[in-house]
Amino acid sequence: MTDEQGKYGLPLEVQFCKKCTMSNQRPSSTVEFKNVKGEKKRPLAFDEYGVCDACNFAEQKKKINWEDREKQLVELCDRHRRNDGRYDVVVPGSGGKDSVMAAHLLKYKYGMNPILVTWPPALYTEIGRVNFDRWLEMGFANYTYHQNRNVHRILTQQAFVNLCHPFQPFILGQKNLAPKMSVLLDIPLVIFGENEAEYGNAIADNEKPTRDPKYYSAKNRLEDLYLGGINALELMDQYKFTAADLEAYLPIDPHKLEDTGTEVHYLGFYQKWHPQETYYFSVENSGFIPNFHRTEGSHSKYSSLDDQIDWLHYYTAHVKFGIGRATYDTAQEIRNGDITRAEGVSLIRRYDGEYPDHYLQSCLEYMDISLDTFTEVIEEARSPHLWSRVNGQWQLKNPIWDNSYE
Amino acid sequence: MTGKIGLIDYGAAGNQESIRRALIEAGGDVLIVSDAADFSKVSKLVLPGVGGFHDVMAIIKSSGLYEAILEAAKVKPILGICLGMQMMATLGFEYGETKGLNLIDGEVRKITCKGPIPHIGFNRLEQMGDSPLFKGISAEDEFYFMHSYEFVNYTDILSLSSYYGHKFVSAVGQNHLFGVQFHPEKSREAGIKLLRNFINL
Amino acid sequence: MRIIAKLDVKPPFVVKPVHFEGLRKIGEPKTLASQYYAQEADEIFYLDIVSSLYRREILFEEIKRTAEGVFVPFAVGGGVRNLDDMTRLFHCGADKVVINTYALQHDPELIDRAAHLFGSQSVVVNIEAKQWDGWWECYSDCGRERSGKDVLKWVKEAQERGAGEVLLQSVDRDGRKAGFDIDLIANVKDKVSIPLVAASGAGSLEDIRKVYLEAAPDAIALASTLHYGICDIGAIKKMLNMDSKVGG
Repeated sequence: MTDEQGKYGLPLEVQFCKKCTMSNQRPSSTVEFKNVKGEKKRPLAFDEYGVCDACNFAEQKKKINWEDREKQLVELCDRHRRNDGRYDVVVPGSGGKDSVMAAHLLKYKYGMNPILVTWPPALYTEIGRVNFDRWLEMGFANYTYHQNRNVHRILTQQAFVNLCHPFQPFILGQKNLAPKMSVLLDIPLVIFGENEAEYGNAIADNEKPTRDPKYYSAKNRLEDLYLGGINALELMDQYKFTAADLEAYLPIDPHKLEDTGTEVHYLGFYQKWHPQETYYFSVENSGFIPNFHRTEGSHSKYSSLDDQIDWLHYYTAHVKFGIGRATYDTAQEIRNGDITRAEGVSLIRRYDGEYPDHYLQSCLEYMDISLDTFTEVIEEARSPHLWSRVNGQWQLKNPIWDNSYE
Repeated sequence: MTGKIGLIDYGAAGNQESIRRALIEAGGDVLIVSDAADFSKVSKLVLPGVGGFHDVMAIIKSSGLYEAILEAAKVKPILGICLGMQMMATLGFEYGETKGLNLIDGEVRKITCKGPIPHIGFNRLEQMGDSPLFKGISAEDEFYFMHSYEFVNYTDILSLSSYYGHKFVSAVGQNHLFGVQFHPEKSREAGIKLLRNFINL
Repeated sequence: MRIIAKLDVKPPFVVKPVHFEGLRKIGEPKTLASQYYAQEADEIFYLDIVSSLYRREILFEEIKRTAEGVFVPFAVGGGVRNLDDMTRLFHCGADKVVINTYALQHDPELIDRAAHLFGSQSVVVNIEAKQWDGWWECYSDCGRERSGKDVLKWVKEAQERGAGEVLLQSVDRDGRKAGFDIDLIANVKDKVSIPLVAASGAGSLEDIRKVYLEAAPDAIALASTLHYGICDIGAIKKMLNMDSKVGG
């Protein structure tokens, strides 16, 4: 870090988007298998009017010719559709609203024959399990890769302890599994729901229908790869992991992708993605149900429900970047016209950064760390340029609801 | 000219706005009356519903409206709606015993019958006699009731209604003083018609 | 059985959540209120579903505008926290006030005070019931916050405190158009002697017929059924007349 930057290489001065609730502290997606401690994040970009990339992209979305995009999807499907009754598209997911809609549309609207693949959460929530079953009940088969629990547990633990990023093992698998299954099953077409680039990764990322291979493929030189912030070779040495143990977390060899002709697409490129409408689609076309109550850290009941670690993930984001689940959820809803910015700010004030009480004990037990260690890691990860201690409590120096800042 | 209709303002209670709009719909020229001084400006009065007998009588007594209403009642037509009608009685029993305006003899007691209480919903009137208030209103017309108490009276009944087999007084009248247990402002065209009848008395 | 049109409002729009989630816009409150009034709805319920959630003041102007021309009872709720709120609502055209969050989570005595000042019949308690194993829990803040309170206990308490009517909604059935939670409705009906308005889940004439025959609520509140043009009020009333029971 230089003098002009805060922890994680973030801008020292906190700036909030004029239109949504996101701040300039939000990091873009990382290439996880290169992620090490002290890595500088690329923060969300703002234009000269103080509007963030994600909002600008949302504006651009309004000008897109979606009929044309749909035609492209139909062409894509036509190109891959099989007439011999065999699977012709890999749809990754876990039964959340996005994968419910993707699977349903591809099968029932576009006449494809999807096979579902799942990289499951380490710790399923009850609602997650229910919705997974209901996803299959729509009429699909599914390959689930059940991770080696010992390996997964250690990677989660190390990712938390070294990077304060317990979600990493999940992200790695989520991005890697579908392309690998594509190769294994010899089904070139992979279609994910939406595109996380929509939320503020480089706008350029949004101009293509496909996911950049840099996220899920690399020439497999173990000495160049990192998991949980630790070099892969070191991991194997320290924990006696074998190559097979780490394979699931490592990117696939690009040659194999070429041989199969794997293409990873986003449905969000071909369709105007509106998460709330995806929720409605799911409840109207399947047995999908939202959370049994408000999701901790947010007001929402429909997003990201199946992984207990997710709750911890958003909490760590709040500690590191000052933005939690409520910020992410409201920012998205503002951009999609579901709520106003003022309403978003009220919700953030009320819920953002809520202590993840519900599943904390379960996550700690899983990672085999004590509450003390947990607290130590959290405090070490806390960004000094964002937080100050007031009356024995941590408070954000520049919360979005602080009028004087606006 | 029919003159202005004074709609009594209880301050905190009373579904004033609904009645005001309905009176206007019925062709009335409405003045909200909060002060004894305003009474001279109006030729008729309406006592709203939506209030508790005990609390609203206390408001009327402490605001000077009590004496003004009694004085006006000597000559000006008054229409009491729901609680408004009930307060015209001698005595009420909602949340303790409270004296009413005593404009029409009777007591306001809790309804006892086998149906859910309060009685909430549309119901019909069995008209007794030929009141100008009910001109053009048929036995099939339905009016909206929402009350837990009934006006017990045997001498001034203008209509009766029935709820789960229990007959109760749904309208009273004595010369120029009228009370309706139901809400004409919430009873569609039939209610507007009744209000128009009152306005045109 | 009264037929009530329920408007779930996120000002300035009527919205229709499913399981109390989602804010899909349906139309303008004033337009829909007028429409349902013209279609012979017995009452209109206007519920601001975000006021408590956003911790925001009640938007009175919107309510006043919606009430215009509605000469049937207009019940209003959403974010009601004290007697002043209620008075203001009555001055905006409300005939009944509806409360949930504040009374449930903070100050149940608000019900008593309201019943004293406005009369029981003007105070409606809204219950958002979420089913667990063997019981239903009261939720608030638009089906989001748990209270730990048992619906059957709370509804009795509300009645004792002076509430004159119950609006019973089901988080599990809301917006799903797959039928009412008959079990819930029958259980609540058994516990109280004040009128019960059953909501959540209607998706067909048959659903309405079923709840009428099996649980006999005093009224039903419809949202999806009306917003999506699934049933019209005339047809519902006709069907109910055919199954008419002796009553009020």
